[in-house]
Amino acid sequence: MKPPRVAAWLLSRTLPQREAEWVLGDLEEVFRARAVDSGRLPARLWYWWQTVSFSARFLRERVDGRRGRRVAVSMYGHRSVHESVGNLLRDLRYAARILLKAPGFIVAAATTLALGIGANTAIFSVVNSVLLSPLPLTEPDRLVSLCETNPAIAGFCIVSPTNVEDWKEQSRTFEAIGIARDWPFILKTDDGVVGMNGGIATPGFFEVLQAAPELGRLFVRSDLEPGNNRVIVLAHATWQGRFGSDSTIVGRTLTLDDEIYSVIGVLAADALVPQMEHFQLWTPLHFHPRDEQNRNWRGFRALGRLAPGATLAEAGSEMTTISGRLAAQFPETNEGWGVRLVPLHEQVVGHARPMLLLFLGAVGFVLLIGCANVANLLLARSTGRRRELAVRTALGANRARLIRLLLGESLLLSLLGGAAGVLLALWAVKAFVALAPGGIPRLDEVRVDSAVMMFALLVSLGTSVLFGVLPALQATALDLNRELKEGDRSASVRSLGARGVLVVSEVALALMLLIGAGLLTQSFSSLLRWQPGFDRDNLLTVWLLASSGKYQSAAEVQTVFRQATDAVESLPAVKAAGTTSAGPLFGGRETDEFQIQGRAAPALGAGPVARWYDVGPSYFNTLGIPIVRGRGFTRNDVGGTLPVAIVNESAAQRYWPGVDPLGQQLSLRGRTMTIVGVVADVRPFRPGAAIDPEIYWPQAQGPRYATFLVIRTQTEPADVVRSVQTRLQQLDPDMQVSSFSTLNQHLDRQLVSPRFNMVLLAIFAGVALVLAAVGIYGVIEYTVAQRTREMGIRLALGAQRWHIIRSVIVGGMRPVALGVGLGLVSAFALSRVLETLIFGVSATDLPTFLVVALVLSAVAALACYVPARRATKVDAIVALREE
Amino acid sequence: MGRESLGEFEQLVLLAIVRLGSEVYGVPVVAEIEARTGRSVSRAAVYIALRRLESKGLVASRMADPTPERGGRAKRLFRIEPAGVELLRDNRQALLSMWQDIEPVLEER
Repeated sequence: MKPPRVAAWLLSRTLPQREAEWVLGDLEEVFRARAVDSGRLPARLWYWWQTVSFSARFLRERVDGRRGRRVAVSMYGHRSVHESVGNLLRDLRYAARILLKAPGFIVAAATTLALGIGANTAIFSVVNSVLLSPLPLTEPDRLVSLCETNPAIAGFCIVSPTNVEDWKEQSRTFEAIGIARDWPFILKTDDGVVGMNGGIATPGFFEVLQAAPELGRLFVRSDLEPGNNRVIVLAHATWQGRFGSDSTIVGRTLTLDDEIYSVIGVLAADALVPQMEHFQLWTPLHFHPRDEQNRNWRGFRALGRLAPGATLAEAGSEMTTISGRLAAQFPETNEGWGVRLVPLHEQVVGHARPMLLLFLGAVGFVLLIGCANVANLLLARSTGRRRELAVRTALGANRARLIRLLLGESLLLSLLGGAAGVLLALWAVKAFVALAPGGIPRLDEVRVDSAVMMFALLVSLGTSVLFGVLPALQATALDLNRELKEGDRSASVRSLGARGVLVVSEVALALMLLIGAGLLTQSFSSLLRWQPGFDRDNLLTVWLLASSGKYQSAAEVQTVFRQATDAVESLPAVKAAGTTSAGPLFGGRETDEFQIQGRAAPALGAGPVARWYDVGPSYFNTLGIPIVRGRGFTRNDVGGTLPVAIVNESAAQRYWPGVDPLGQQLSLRGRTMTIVGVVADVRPFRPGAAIDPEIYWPQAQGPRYATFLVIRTQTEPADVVRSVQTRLQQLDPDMQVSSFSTLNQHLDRQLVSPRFNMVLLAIFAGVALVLAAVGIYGVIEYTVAQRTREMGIRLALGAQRWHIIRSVIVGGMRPVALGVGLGLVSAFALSRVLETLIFGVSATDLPTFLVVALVLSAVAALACYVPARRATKVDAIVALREE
Repeated sequence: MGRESLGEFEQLVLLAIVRLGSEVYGVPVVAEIEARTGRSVSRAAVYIALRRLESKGLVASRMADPTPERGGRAKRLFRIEPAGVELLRDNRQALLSMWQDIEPVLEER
């Protein structure tokens, strides 16, 4: 019969090595005897009890330098380590005892710290998961996004399939390169048609990602050949959701866009396709990249996997060489185009960085303010303990020892606050992920892991130093003689001293946060006030996609769209309806270079650029965009008649300054058009953003299979949706009608992210303001309490109550004013941080700075006034007698 | 002063070793104390006291005699050192002189 194994193991760990052998032996001997006498279970229980008892006693012996110094020597050999561990533990134990005598203080300090540490831990876990941890892909460091760049369309990351083919052939630094893009499909099922978010990709794309199939296979080179390319790879979620995880799915056929495709595979559940996670199915490119000779068609995203050992810089210089060669070879399409390589991680998370770092900075400030408050509390406490500390010094404690004692208290407080903070963070992270706007990538990966825990621990330790050192230094700088003689009678009738420093920093930090919140709020409200130049209420948009198999040509589709417009317009609740390829806040943006006829052709890439739309005849009328000059489009502007175009005022001013644009000709995407009208600019959603030059042409002259239908309603747009749907269904049951949305809903979607930023920063700033006010209040209350006697005398001698209050406020506001000044200067210096996040207001907006400074000063003055007033209410006689 | 002081508990342990003979190990020491005093004692405390006595030079020990009922582990055998004997003697002397003449007083109560 053996003693409990776990217990024996534990004992062997906790006992000093020299003792383990015989103690374990003795215990086992007794255990056997007991098992025989009184049964197995009692014996086991006894053994466990002995484990606890021995562990506790030997551990205490190990660290207890006071009684067991020599024992520690004989048992462990090293004196100094165990001695100092023993001292440390004893100091901590003592600190805990002292702290427990002031539960109110513990609660106040630990709550403040928990808020600060919790907020920091929560935001850090987001930053850690989103910005710091590598993408969950194989060797993610080697993944690179390849972009063709052109100064004319800065900011885009797009490639042409044909160019990528050449890159692949000529490059040595890439192991694989693949391309992909979105491609909407209409899936025909027994229940009707349904739109699918699809993607088209080359085999290299999945090769780069090293994605694996759950079932079947992924694309191979031969899948690109015409005749072989009607194959589908399903996303894992689609396979699970739509096809019920059918294990026999491979080989089944599906009808996409009225063509028969067969399923060849399903992506594995963990196959991550960055930034295309929501694609439901994949097909190969519909054309062989080699067959598509239009290098100008740059509508794809390219991903590459660097060859082993190749660096980003090497790949960059190689790609520059290759693209230079291609530009020389194909000047018409490639002149002016360069290549930029962006690490995939940067591409995925880069845009979220400023915002997340802003949040991290904000919570850092909140924590610092919290530290200042706790330091304040400690200062106030330590003043009350000066006599105690003086006695200790007199009895032989040196200053280092006293400081260690006081820092021990800080450490306990911060660990307590940290533990509570981590609990808070667990909850806060969930809330953050649930409320965060879609713009932040990788939110599903956010967790509180060991790295986050380590962060919380480090922050807690750092915090304890931050708020503990100053009070400890001050408290232990003792004049023994005076402290012992006078006690705390006159010990602290001094200037604010160290407390003043804390107030200054609190005010400065809170001011910076408030200014940030103020700017974001202003930016948000300016977005809210967006006036596009037409009435944005009662506008409904809907996406129409015609089934390509059903109509012979795009021109036929155009007829259907016109019928659809008429049908919807005839509804009683509808004022007007019009079609467009895109519009303000909805639809894709298409931007291209164009040529102005009759002018010398500029160097390629240096010509005029405009955003373009194709619209139906009633589009301008439906939105209410006024036609400034010339005419709008009519039903007669169809294929076969004179190709016409309308430009906006910005385009007219920029490209035809001082010239009447009417009658001028321009060439865009291979079409030459005559300008017949000028429309008013639509003011951009982001105040201050430049208004793009825009070119419109009639849909009937360049038809496509899909369009937005914009509907101006008489009543609430939501009431019209059902009847519009019915009407369109009657017209063509195969037409995909989706994405009903009002213009204001489009606007709301744009506002989600700014609103989130604003609210979060406002919360942080609010907490900072409250903490700072509490801190100031605490300091003033403390100083006033120290001056009660003096005030009593002054009152007794006939001083005006108000004079005393004023002197307190003036004294208190001095560090506040300094803090405000410091905060304003720092906020000015930090304004660059906010620049990318705010619109319609300058990051150094003077009114915001001033208003915030005033608000903060007013709050601070109030925080001074309340304790001052209370102090002067004290009866002078009582105040004097107290002493 | 100038000599090692001896706590009451340490004294009990030391006495148990003396009672049990030349060389003893932990198990009988605990049993002896419990049997004589009628109290149950913490085994861990006894073992700590043994280590402490040894570090004070009052007892000495050696390892010996692994047996199967001990899971094959060796015993540590303790024996009292002359300093221990002397200290016990002094303690006894001191206690006896303190007790002198007051035993009847206590009896009366």
